[in-house]
Amino acid sequence: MQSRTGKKIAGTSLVIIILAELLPVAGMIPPWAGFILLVLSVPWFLLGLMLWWRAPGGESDLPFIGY
Amino acid sequence: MIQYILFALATGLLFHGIHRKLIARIQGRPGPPVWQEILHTLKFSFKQTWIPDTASEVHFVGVVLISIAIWILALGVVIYEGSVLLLFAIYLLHKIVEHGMGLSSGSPYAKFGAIRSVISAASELPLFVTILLIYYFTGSLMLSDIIQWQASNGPLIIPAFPAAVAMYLIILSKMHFGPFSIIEGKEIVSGNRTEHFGVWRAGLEAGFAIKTYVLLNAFVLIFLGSFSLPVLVLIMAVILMTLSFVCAYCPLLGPYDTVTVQSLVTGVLLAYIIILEVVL
Repeated sequence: MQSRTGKKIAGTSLVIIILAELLPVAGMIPPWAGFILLVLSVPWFLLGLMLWWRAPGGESDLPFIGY
Repeated sequence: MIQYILFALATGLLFHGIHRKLIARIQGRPGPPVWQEILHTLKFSFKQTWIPDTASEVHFVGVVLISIAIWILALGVVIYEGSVLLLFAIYLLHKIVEHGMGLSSGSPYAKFGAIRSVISAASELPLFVTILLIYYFTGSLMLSDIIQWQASNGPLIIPAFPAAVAMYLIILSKMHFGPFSIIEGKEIVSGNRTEHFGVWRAGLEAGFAIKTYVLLNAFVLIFLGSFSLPVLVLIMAVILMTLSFVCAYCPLLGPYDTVTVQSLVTGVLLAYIIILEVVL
């Protein structure tokens, strides 16, 4: 996966996280709906962020099958 | 709400670090610094990352996302004082993560971990009896009702001590380096986590950190009552230290021994319930 993809995922999910925090305060959605948005967006944000800043390179290979 | 998630994540990782440090000190080793797990997670997140050729890609990445999502959901149940039944349902969903981690990569060691995860499903047996006992005493499975019950009747741990022991055992079965941690035994490399490295491992560590925080928090709320955040974290840390002592002194049990111990605890609890209901 390209780090650019990670950046896009992290950016999009960060927007959703901000909305999930702000919309319940503004009374536009109930608090539980804001929380569900967080449940759905925070995992994507964490993975996206880490995929963005991880070291580049590396190729997929066969799994480890023993010493 | 995001602040609670970040707090649970940081505290959970710190708890994992304290856990490792205590085990090391008890065993006469210097051990890593207590913030090692935070550094560890950051380190994994910076590493080169790819998906093994033999892995089911969606499954391989999906379990990481599910792991974080379900424990954030569980954190919400605890914060909003929702149903214990929902909390324990999420705990059972964690089994999907354990199976999925092992089966998705195509590594034989990870598959062994997944098979052991099926065997360790016995760790869920004490869970059902715990729920039964909580309901027997409080008449409700809502955390808010259980906290209220304790405000007027005292800590639930006193009348329902066997249930507290059972839940303690449940938390112990999910701790790293514990006697029931058969799914990540070193004889099968890292068990079901063998192929999840780099960013995937960092994501899993984040999910597991929130899991540790949620389980300890739930234990305190269910059996001791509601406290201010600093006191709550302090009590959780004390419980964690007792868990570390058990993990330091008990060797990793064999897969069938874990089933035997957990089934015996369930049997004792059932006997306790029968005595409560029929004899008394």
